[in-house]
Amino acid sequence: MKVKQIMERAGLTETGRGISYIKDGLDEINMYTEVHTRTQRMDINEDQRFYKFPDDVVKVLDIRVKNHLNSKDQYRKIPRLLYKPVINDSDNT
Amino acid sequence: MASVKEYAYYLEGNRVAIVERDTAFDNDPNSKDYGPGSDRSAWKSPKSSVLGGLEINYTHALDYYMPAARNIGWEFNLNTGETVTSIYTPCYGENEGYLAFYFPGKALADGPIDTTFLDPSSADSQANYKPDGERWIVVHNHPRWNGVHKIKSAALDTAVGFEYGLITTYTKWSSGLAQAEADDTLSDVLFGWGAGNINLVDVGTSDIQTTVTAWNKGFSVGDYAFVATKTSSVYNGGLFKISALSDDGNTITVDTAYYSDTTTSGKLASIEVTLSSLPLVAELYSANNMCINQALLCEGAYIDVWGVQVLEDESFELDLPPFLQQALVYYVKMRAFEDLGDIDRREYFDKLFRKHLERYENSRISGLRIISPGPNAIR
Repeated sequence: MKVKQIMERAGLTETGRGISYIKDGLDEINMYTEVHTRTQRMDINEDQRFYKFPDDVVKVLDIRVKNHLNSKDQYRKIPRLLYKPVINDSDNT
Repeated sequence: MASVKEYAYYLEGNRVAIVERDTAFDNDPNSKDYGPGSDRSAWKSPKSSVLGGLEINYTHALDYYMPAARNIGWEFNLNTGETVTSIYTPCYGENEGYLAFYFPGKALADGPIDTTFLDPSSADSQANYKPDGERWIVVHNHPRWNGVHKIKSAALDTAVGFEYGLITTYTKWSSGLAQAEADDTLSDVLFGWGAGNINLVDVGTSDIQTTVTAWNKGFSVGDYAFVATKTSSVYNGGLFKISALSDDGNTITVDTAYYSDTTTSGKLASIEVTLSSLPLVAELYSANNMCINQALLCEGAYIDVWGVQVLEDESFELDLPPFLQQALVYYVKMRAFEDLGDIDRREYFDKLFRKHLERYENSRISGLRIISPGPNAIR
């Protein structure tokens, strides 16, 4: 369906407003359902604790790390810590 | 065989913190944790580097479309535009407050890749993109900047002297990365290459080497730096690794030059810059300002550059299942009534929107279900 068709069905005439709503709607849909998913791999660096999420993330589905509880180079889901660890990191900026 | 590790994560702002359980014995008798026993183990920052070790699975909004099968290459120009739609970008950085992507050549002797036709003012952009040659790119497999970006420039910028191997976007980014730049309004300012060094050179009556004392400040030894200025020698542009910085602020010494390894997917190959192999070629440059930008590596990242259409006008076709397109209509109506202050109708369409999403979710689940054992299951 084209943007124009959605705007007509919603009774909108201003293109800018319609596109803005549609972009918000796409984000909202991807927040609730998994329509468009993507997997991103990053390097883990020694002594680097913090890693930025990719810029286009709407909702994180899974965080996996290589060799977590295995020695077969498998990527496995890692648990979330309930509390921050006692030992801080120097790159905590 | 790789060793078994144990990781966990927590969130800190827009970042994920990865920690690893350290089970090494504490042999410091002054420590309260002294002695063996992994029960006293601690969560610390990753104890070792792992290439591609972190995998994040996420949802994203698909608000762009590329009307061609993706074909990723290392070099892209107008003549090959129909076969190469995407290009590897192994490093990135900041250009005057905006996100920039850098493109080393396919071989050291090639120099950085010519990206000038991607500029919105180029003939190709003017003929094929709208409005007024507006061009967009889509970044993939990047540690941070995945998604759609708009090209600000990809050609000679006379204000700063960039020309090759660089795309600057409209995405604002105050990265804090270093940049070595000198103003060429002083006509006697020259930049020199040679013997692994890039430096400011005294000529004529100027005394640039004593007046400019902070040209190389902000960099550290081991940083990557990209020279996008078009130089006479192709060896003098591209990606380098800094090996030394002079105390007087005039000289940056590099020991390694990089080019794209076309046998792998977006990785870099390197060559030592020595007088016996392929040195920086002695050259003086005064045509314009010259900048050397600190670069970060993002090997494996690639950019769709050809035919990218984004959600910016009414002709854009949404890539969404038909059932969810109806949900989107409800959402747009909901927002429209919200703006009008008609809360009753807003709530009505909000309810329809969420109900539609639920039905979509349930529509794909049928039959028996089985519970798979979790990590703590009895063996």
